[in-house]
Amino acid sequence: MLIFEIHQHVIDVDLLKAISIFLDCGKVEIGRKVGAPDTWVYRLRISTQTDILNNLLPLLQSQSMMLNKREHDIKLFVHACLLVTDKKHTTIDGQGELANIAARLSSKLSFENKQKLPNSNKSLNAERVTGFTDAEGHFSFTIVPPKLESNYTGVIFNFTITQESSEGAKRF
Amino acid sequence: MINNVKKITIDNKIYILSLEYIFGLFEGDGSVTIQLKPNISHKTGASRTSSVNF
Repeated sequence: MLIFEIHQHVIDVDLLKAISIFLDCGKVEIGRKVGAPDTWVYRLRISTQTDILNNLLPLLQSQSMMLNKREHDIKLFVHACLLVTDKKHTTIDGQGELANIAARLSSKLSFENKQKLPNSNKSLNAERVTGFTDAEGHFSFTIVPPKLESNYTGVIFNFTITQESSEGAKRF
Repeated sequence: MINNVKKITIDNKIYILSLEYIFGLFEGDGSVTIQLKPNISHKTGASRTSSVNF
């Protein structure tokens, strides 16, 4: 089975529904049901063969990713989709090839091997970075009390995006 | 191919979405899985084959 998912906290479940409408595929469901309902995680899950091959695959083939590990994974995923399109998953050789692809996904790679992944040449743009920021960004501010002999209270604003070091430094 | 930008309303909330935004969100909060699972014929699990189920 080929599965494409996006996860969000329950507070943003409507965003997942909107994305499902945009892509005209997938379904929104509970992804992690732990604790009170207001802490649950939902997911947009695209997993039917029709949705994957007819709706998602053409989009993935037209896109590149800015993270090296994501670019690596999407290339493997597209390869797997094409094997299924060609019905090769029904053969022993095809199943072996799929197992080999699955074993090479970034989640199975050591940190050293992640560092060796080729650099993505994706050109960044505001929409891509906005989406990425919605997922990984963090905003905060700190109120700094006035120093001695000063009446001014300081405010320090922070915006951070944190990634594992195998992704290297990317300039947003 | 999907239009570049769409305005979608859910529960009175307006989302202006594009593929770039969606794949940006995916890069941060998404995943892909290639699941090689044997066919299992119901709960008893009596019938199991080595074929890949898609």
